[in-house]
Amino acid sequence: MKIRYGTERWEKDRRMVVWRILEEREINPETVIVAINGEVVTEDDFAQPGDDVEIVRAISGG
Amino acid sequence: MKCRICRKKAAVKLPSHNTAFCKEDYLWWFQKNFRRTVKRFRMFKAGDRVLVGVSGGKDSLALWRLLVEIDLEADGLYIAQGIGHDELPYSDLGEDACREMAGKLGRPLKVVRVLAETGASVPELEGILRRKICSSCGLTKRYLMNREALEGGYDVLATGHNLDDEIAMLFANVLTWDLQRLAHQSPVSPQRGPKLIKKVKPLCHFSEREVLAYTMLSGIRTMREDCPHARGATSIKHKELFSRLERDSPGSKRRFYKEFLRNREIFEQAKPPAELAYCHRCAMPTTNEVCSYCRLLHRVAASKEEVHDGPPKPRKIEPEPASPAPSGLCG
Ligand code: SF4
Ligand SMILES: [Zn+2]
Ligand SMILES: [Zn+2]
Repeated sequence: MKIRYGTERWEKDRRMVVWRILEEREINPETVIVAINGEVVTEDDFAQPGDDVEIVRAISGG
Repeated sequence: MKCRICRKKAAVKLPSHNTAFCKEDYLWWFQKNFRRTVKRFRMFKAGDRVLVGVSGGKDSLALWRLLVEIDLEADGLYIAQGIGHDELPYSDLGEDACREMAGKLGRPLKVVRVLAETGASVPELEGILRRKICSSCGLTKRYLMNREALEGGYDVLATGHNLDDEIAMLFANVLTWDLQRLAHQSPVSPQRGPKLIKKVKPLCHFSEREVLAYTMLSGIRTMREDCPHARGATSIKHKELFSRLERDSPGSKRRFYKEFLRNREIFEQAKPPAELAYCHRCAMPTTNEVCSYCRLLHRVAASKEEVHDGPPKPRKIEPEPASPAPSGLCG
């Protein structure tokens, strides 16, 4: 699966639960919304090989 | 995880409310709570004309749409700061997203350019005023939004500040125990005199994540890029700090803000709003003889003369002017 988070890009080749993808990168689930193939999902959902995972950061401002 | 309402697969989990919703029920929940906040704080009267300060980001565009959906005559105002460069034309991207939303809603969007108004873009102001860029950005934004709302005959100015913005501001004010700013922070700032428009923050009870989920689920296209000057900003650090707290103890953010609102009268009583005077140059409200915006205009004009007159003379760095709210929060 291809994973995007801001300007970062990385790949995983196995089925993974969303919270684990976030945990591996030390991303606090409270600060993001995740979409798999364009569909908003919870951190308990699974991403499959071949999926397009987008992690969108909620925190903004200056 | 299942939706609390229909038991279908959930799309959004809300630990602070100890619940989860599918797409349709999340949108319903969000709109219901939005209406509740608007009503509870008496933000609008029937027939009010509303000006929405839009940036192209998720909060302000979501707000604009929600206000139109509750049948308010809500128009957009975009303040073009002239921020960005070829690789990240931040202000242009924001303007595009606002224009797209204006088209979808069928409502007018007014664009006011800081460069045309002051003679310098916001990044140029930083060099001229030798003050942090967010300070000049906030000052010009506040002044121009108030002026446009008055000149356009609007009743209320609405901004997209969310719960995380409010908490970051509250936390910064508590860290310094700035009683004046604490007294001033509120979801509704009533009209003061004929020249200070009523201001409201209808998204103040939604976290940034909740607003983001709303925009993604309702298909609103927003600018995802951050302002290049926001990097390392204290308000972002405070937001991250509170998000860690929220993760360990869901509901902390909401509690902190709610309890503040319950007790904010204490600050109001301790620091009643200062008597307003009117600026000798532009006749807008100020607590000084000449308002900060007119002083800014003067400094820009002086800097242009210096360029014509030869090398710049050494300038004294001025202290930050006292402003009624922290200037660095965008939205
Ligand atoms: S971070 Fe916000 S306040 Fe600062 S310059 Fe950018 S838009 Fe303006
Ligand atoms: Zn449902
Ligand atoms: Zn003035």
